[in-house]
Amino acid sequence: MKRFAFAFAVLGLALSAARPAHAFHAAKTFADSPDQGGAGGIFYTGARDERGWTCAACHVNAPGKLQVQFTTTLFNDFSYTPGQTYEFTLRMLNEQKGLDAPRANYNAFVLRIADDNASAVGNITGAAADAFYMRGNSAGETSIIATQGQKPGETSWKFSWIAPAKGRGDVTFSLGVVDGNAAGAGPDSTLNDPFGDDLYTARVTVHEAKPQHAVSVPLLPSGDGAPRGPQALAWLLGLLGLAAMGVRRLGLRR
Amino acid sequence: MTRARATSLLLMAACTLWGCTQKLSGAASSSFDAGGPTDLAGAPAALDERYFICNVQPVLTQSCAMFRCHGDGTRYLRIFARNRLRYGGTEAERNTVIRPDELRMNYLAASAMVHPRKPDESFLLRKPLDQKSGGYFHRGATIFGMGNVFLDREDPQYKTLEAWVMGATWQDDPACQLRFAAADGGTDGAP
Repeated sequence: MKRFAFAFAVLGLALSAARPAHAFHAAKTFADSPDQGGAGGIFYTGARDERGWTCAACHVNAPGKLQVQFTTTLFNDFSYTPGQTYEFTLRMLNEQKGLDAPRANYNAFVLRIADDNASAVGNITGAAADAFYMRGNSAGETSIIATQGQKPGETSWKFSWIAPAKGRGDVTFSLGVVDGNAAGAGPDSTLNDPFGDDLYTARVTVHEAKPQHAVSVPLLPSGDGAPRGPQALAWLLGLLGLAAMGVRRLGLRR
Repeated sequence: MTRARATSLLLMAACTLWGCTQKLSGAASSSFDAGGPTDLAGAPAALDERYFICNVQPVLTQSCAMFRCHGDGTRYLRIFARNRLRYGGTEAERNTVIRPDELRMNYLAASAMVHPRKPDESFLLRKPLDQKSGGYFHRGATIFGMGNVFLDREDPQYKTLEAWVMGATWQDDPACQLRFAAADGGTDGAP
């Protein structure tokens, strides 16, 4: 019996030791209250209503070598069509930190989506709840999507954004990506800290596409009862014919 | 030594002595006249430490204690906070509950930023307040380029700091009263 108890104790200790210390790589931490070690809802995306604070507020002395590829057709002409779905792929291109720490190599991103009033805008879809943390308004629109920090070694993420209905105007995407270095503690590390990581931050504004209208050039001044289309063309041809006859008559007189 | 050289040396020594005396007396009188932070005559009672723990510490944690800012241990105003700068301990302990000794140091550091006779002009209020709203220059406002911590005096966090600086106590705050009701038999509990 004692042997079993000892074995369970050892197993328990091993499991607790292997459990990574969840710090700020887990997005939920940003939503926790300051007393709980959180940021009280500040996600450090660099957005205007976060005073422009980015990941660099805590991840100090980042080398600034991280490159990120953010692929979406939305950035083809930096405009969105209301109601259209856009697929986003976010990929770290040159991860350099934490590669020697398979259990604590937590990379992360946070994306803030806001209109000019700093309100949530559009909807994020295709983002698994266990992989992403999301936050939005009561209308179901998304303001924040961030990694949950469940899987070490992640370097790319996919999800979709449904643009809002027309009339919302400009939308700004504020992005922060962290290449974590697992606290620089080597292969056995289960920790992470804000020191020695690399960062990438960016802010992109896209405009609402203006609706495409069929171009129509009125042949005659518009008004009730005025002829339109083929009728107007026939009327114009008739006028031209009459004018031509008039010219000929004038010519005969001469 | 020639006579001229001796005279010039004497003159230099006299000037230096006179200058130093002037500087010292000037500093003393200026401090007295302006009612500077070192002049405690007429200073109000000590700032309420329990109100600080309940209300001010969370503001400092959220808006001031980032490592780039006052979570830097080398700063004059340094703030210890959970999951941020800690006084000792290991990395694994960074996200443990903040300790009473850390709260005490924060309380003293923040109190030192309060003008004893002109609390409204305290650095604790004016430095994080945007200059457009009457704040002082704050390097923190320039780093990220989108204004200071508090854009105006209506910011709820600014109002919390202002209330403390103006003399609010834990008895004014029912939540704080509840929190410390149990602690009165023991120590000032950390959040």
